[in-house]
Amino acid sequence: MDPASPAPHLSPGTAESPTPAPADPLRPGVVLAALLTLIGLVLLPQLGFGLVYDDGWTLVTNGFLRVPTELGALFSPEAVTRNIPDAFRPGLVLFDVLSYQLLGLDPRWHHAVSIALHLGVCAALAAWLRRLGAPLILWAGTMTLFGLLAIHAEAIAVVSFREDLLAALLGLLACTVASAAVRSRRAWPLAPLAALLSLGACAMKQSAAALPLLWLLAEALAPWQTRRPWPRLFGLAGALLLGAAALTAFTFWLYGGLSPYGLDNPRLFVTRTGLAPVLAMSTQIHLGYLQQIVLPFGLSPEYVDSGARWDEPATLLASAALLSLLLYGLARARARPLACLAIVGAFILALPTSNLAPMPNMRADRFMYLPSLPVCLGLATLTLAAGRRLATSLARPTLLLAPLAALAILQGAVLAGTAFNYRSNGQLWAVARALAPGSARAQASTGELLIASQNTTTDKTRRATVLARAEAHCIHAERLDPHYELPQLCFARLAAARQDWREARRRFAAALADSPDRNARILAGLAQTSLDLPNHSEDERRQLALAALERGLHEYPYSPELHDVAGQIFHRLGDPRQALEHYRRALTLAPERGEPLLAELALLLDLGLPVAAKHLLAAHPQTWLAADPIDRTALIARQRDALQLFAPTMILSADLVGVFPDEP
Amino acid sequence: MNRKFFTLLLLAAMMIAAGSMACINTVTTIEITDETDSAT
Repeated sequence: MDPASPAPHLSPGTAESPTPAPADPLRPGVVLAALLTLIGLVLLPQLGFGLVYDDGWTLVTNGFLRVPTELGALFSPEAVTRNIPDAFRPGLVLFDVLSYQLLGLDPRWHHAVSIALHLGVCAALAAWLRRLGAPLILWAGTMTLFGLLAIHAEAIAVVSFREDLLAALLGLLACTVASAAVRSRRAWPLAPLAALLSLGACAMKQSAAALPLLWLLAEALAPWQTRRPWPRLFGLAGALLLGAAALTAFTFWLYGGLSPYGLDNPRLFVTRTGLAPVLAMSTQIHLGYLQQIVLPFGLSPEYVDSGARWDEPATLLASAALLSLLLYGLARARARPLACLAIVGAFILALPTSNLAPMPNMRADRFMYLPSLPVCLGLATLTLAAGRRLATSLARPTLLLAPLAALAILQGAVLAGTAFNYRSNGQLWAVARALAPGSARAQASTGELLIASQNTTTDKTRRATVLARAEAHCIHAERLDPHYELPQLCFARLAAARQDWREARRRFAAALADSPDRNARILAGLAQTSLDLPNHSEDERRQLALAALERGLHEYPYSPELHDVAGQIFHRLGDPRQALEHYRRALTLAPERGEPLLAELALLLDLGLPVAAKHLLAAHPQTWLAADPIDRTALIARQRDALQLFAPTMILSADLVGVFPDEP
Repeated sequence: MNRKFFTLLLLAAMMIAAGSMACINTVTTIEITDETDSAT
């Protein structure tokens, strides 16, 4: 390429600018496909990752996804009273229901969906920039940087964070349709589609509500084409904002307020310290985000919430830097519209997660998924400008793309490496502890993981050692945050593993007192340990267990764990009808869990129904094979005994051995 | 032009693959595999 020729490709040129045609020109479709392939290849290892972090809450133990017949509850205040996870994101829950019904719980498929969504976002970004008139080299560079940006590792690698990808995809499609509408002779036929897509984006994640403002800014600045008439721009921006308004009204209807978290929620750091320290820290956090986007180091799956003072040097410097950047962007709106779009656009998109509205996490890498979009445009422009200078001064035209390619390679390498932090919960929390040692969540989760790993261990020495390690994490977590439910839950599980039921119940009760939501597993633990409390009469233990159970089932009717525990408790209390009902509900709400199936089989054997047990097993082959092999073997032995006792003529035809070819 | 573009992409993919090896966090993961009953 001629050193002089790249100039028209760069801002603020136009797509229609005359350029000397190369002998073998690149076609936009080929460039798009090739770059998407590169991004897809970088993300490909994620297909081997597991379900981690919030995937447990939103996918693995979310019974609501398994009962699509009750979907209507999602669009009523019942969604809140029944504690449906992410009820304030109805679009996301719908997508989760659909993806679960189609793909089950296979992590490979869910990761494939996340990768496909990210590629879709990249393609939608390219389509919108092309519609705005950006030249090929700029939209392709922006898309490549966005696709390979390292800070996106969390949003792409954790399945449940596809809310960001879905919101960005639908939001960008809405922007593309709105830009097409504003350029067409009759804008209004396309306006409803744009509004609908914008509504879909906000139903995935509310932070997409800022996208219409970015659209208006981009169209008003019009860096590559002439600006369209203001009435049209405002009309279409209004159509896009309708989606945000509808979702805000829906949230208000569900929760009686604008925040789904509630203002006195102890999970919100702002309720502990007030807004001023949170906002002061937020300025430092946002300067940190900017550094992480430009130079990808310091990325982490976990950050510790903390406040700051406004007179701290770090706060003052961060505020001054951000304010200067914003003022520069605003002041250069006419002379450098692209700089203005990149800077002011990033500020606009960062607003929803900037802690002005209280959020349970003050900082997370995934929050930068949308705001990084205009930043990538700015970075692509800057690196291309640097490349043009380099190519001109060294008289080497091929150097035009060198800075952009170097940045993309750096980002891609860090993206692929950082994504491995999310391959399993064990890896995730080990990295989180290393990078955020002050995190009570990381310490407590590590403790719980260690305890869970010892559930089936028969080596007493090893078990005692691992439980002692877990105890150290529980103690550390409690010291870091004495008013947080996870350390109490860690202690409760530890006490249960040591069969100290009194301590376990005390810790479960403490966890419940500290926890504002997501209490299904705490109430299940409370009910379960109550039945074994020493120094309590049979009647007292029964009442305590049933009280915890009743509250749990009322507040969390879609929790498979609670129904399983209810089945076990009614089973132990000698109420087979209720036990059977809850086991069956638990199996419906989580067919992947082996425990309720094994428990129901045991109940049928207790009732002297070994043939019914065989039929039940034959109806749930996958669940049976997913259950613990030791428990399965014990049940097979019990069923043989039951056959001998209750149905000796059926021994050959009803034996569990041989029902499945790979059963021992 | 096309050949140069695809060569650049190929080089980029290889450099990203090599770079990612250096970026993988080598923190010791939490041992949650219990081999008590199956280790030989």
